[in-house]
Amino acid sequence: MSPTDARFAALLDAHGPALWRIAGAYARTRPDREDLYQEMLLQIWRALPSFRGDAAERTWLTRIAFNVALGAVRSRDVRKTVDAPLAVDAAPDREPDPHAAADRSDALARLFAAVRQLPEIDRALVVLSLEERPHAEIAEVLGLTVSNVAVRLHRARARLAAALTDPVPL
Amino acid sequence: MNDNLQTLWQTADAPPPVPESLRDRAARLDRTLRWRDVRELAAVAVVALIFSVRAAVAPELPWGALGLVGLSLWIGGVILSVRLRFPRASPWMPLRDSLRAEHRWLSAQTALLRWAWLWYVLPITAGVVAFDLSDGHGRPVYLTVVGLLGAALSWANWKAADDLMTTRDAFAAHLHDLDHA
Repeated sequence: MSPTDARFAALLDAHGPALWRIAGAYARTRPDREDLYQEMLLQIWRALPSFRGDAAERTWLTRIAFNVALGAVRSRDVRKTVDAPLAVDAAPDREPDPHAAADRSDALARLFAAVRQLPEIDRALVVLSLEERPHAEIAEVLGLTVSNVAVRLHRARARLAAALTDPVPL
Repeated sequence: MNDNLQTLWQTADAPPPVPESLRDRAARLDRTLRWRDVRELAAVAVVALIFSVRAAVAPELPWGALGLVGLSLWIGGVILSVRLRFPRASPWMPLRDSLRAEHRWLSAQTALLRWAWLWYVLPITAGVVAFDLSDGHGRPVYLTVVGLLGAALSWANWKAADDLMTTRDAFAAHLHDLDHA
């Protein structure tokens, strides 16, 4: 395994699940989500040799993910399938009770649906917040000031709460 | 953010395995991008070379050929200058910088396509016509076909600019969202 391969594998071990969730926030169907995730990985792989450590590894990776995601949302392939629902599955084996697992899966699907109802920039803010990123990191990813992030996030959260209260049919 | 929502969000399923073909796809994409850049300028160089030779071997009527050489260099210069002045965004830029760079790049590409009839099609068409006349032919059917091809090319570029503008406007809308809290 080359050093680049090893580095790429380590990055995916650490951040792959977050990239997959980001893809889920911007794709409408499972195939679109997989395509978007692969496109993120492709761009990360291509960009990896030029990573100089100017930003933290996680910030660098997340920037690529959002640049790809917002680019893909505009693409015809993704827009064509806006009516198809996205199957978002909860991770298995955390919940021994099947009813509780079904409830959690349903709640998760509603959360993803509510997130996808938000305008794209608000969605980025909310997703980063759901990923528990500090305001300073969100500011670095999006190119905003920290105070601007706080103001915008407050508004985006209100929109998410409204979307969760009045969800679109799954 | 509500802690419960954050916890729930992070219980989403795991990503699929990385496809084995990823490295090949990346190599293919790099090759495609590199060749696309080279191809446009290579076409210009080939046209310039062919007509330079033509002018050299038929010095009695060189002005049409020399005109085409000049036009090829002009077109290559326009393409190269736009490419250098409006580079694409790097994927690791902060979102706002990336959107701004892509918006500038898209605006430049849209303008190139929109005005292709003026900086590309018209000079080439006029050059081909001048070459034909300078060669002593001036064939009406040939010149009509050249004119029609030029019109079709202009129309195709105009339509391509329309398509690109949709994407550019989407970038502009995102930038507006980011710039106006």
